[in-house]
Amino acid sequence: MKVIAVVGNGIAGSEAAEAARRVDRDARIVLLTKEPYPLYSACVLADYVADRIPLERVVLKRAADFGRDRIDLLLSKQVVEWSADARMLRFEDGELPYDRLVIATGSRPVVPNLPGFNKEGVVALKTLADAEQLRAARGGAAVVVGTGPVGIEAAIALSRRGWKVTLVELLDRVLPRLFDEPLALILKKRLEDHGIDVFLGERVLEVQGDARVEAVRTDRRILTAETVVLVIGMRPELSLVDRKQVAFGDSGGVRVDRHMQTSREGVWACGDCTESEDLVTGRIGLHMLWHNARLQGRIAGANAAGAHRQYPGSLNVTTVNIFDETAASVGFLASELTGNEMTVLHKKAPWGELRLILKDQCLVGVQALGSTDRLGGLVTMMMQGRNLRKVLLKKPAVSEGPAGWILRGLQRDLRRLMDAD
Amino acid sequence: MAKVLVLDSERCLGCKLCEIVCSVKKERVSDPSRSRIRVLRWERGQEALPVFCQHCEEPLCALVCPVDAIKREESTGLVVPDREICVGCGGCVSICPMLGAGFDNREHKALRCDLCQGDPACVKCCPTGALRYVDSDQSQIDRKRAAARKLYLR
Ligand SMILES: Cc1cc2nc3c(=O)[nH]c(=O)nc-3n(C[C@H](O)[C@H](O)[C@H](O)COP(=O)(O)OP(=O)(O)OC[C@H]3O[C@@H](n4cnc5c(N)ncnc54)[C@H](O)[C@@H]3O)c2cc1C
Repeated sequence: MKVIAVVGNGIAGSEAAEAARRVDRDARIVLLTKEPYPLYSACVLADYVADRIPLERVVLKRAADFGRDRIDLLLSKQVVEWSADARMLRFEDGELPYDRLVIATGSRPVVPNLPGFNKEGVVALKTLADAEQLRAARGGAAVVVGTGPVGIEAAIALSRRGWKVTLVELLDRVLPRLFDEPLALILKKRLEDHGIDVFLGERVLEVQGDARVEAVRTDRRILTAETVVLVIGMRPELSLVDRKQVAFGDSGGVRVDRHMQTSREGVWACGDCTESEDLVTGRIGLHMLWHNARLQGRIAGANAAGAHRQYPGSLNVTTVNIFDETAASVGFLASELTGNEMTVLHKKAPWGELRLILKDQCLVGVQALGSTDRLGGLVTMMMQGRNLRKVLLKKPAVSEGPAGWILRGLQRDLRRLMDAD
Repeated sequence: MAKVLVLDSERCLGCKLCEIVCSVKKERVSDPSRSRIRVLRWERGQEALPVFCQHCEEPLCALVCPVDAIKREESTGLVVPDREICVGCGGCVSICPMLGAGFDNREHKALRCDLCQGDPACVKCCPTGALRYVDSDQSQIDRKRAAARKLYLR
């Protein structure tokens, strides 16, 4: 019987196994994970830490759900060796020969090479075990290092648990990869209004204490803390995989083609461990988002079972919530672009704020605060790379739907903006 | 034959009666901010655009949902969020290309038009006939699918 093996049971691996089953009713499908849980959602771990949702909501699938699809789920099974030529996976208490392989090993938190980061009390927020550790932590003061979406979520969750939380960020604003200064300032203020201290442009140098965390030393001050949450970034988890077995991209993720196949025949990859193309910016890189991992998993799994589906590319719309205020971002930031071909249109309205980034007369980035729905309406236009000056010469048609409506609404502002350059 | 909610946006006056009727019928309160159909205006005085869920073939909102709260109901074919499961992250709102994903800011939950089980209240109250509930012929469905494919998924 043909064996399709999937390594990693995050959303990518789980979807891959299910998709493979839909295509091939007969193959043996084996899903291996080092996690003790069947499938849970990393995206809501912070809500669980904050006691806003129970554990049952975090766990998305039970072992029985996989059983129904006749997927052999092997929990707490870390694959320690992959023999690509022999088509063999090895784990501590056995091995599995396979015919087709899907690598879905996801990502792991970056740990800086600085003194003290191995002390007890330093936690990441990536796994359910991390969330449990944060829930069980005792103390009153926490330092969160890094203000990406996960750092912000962790800070809010601990603050909701009653901790005094300090966020430390090396760059000059919060959520530096998602928002330019104006919106980042508003979001920072919102954090501060809820009692979270935010220190920007500050470098963490060491974690102090004996066996346990007692303080964090930065280049400006010493912050006492019983818990340090370290969220400075994620890297592909590829300790199992060697560059000689499959090609990696410059980003450090596995390189795949449109069919999610790696450079090696019979091996597919999907999710956070792979690199992909950003549909809006065209950039090839790591686009570690839930929906990208899910869709990639579906396609990799189906193709491993014999289908020929294509992945369109990654859609990097990121939404963050800061004490029930929503903000979202897609595409380039103004601060990433230089040159006089770049212009910004920043609109304020009763429903929120919208910041549009234009380059060479095309929309290349949008940031939204408040009602973020208009951002979604603009994504198609960004993907098509439409020249807005041409669009504005005649009134965008009603048949263009929401995108046309947004353009008609912005027509006057856009004209003014474009005639100015 | 399946019926769909269609909009002739040029007929919409922006009276927002549909929002009120919808919130009364579905939420039992007269609160436009909790309506499943929303009449947006870009700026005061500019044209109105009613938006609502299109029940896409390959819904991006379901792909984005971090807790699998959004599923296609097998019996009706509609894309609906489960309010019990929804964590209110708002991811579906930002990604919907049709601006059709509503959000209840009071309860912090996703809101989606479910066509009132085949008897949409907004259609009945619309004074200009901008909203209609019509049989969808196959060509219409095909066109919608093609558009959805062009949008993102193929
Ligand atoms: C706290 C947090 C919040 C997030 N919030 C959002 C959000 O709101 N929206 C969004 O779009 N994205 C969010 N993300 C990102 C999103 O969760 C990821 O993109 C997605 O989960 C990636 O799924 P994956 O299956 O590729 O990888 P992972 O979830 O990392 O799964 C990989 C699995 O493989 C297993 N594995 C690895 N190596 C081995 C091995 N050798 N043997 C056996 N098993 C192995 C791992 O244990 C793991 O279970 C968030 C991430 C975090 C951490």
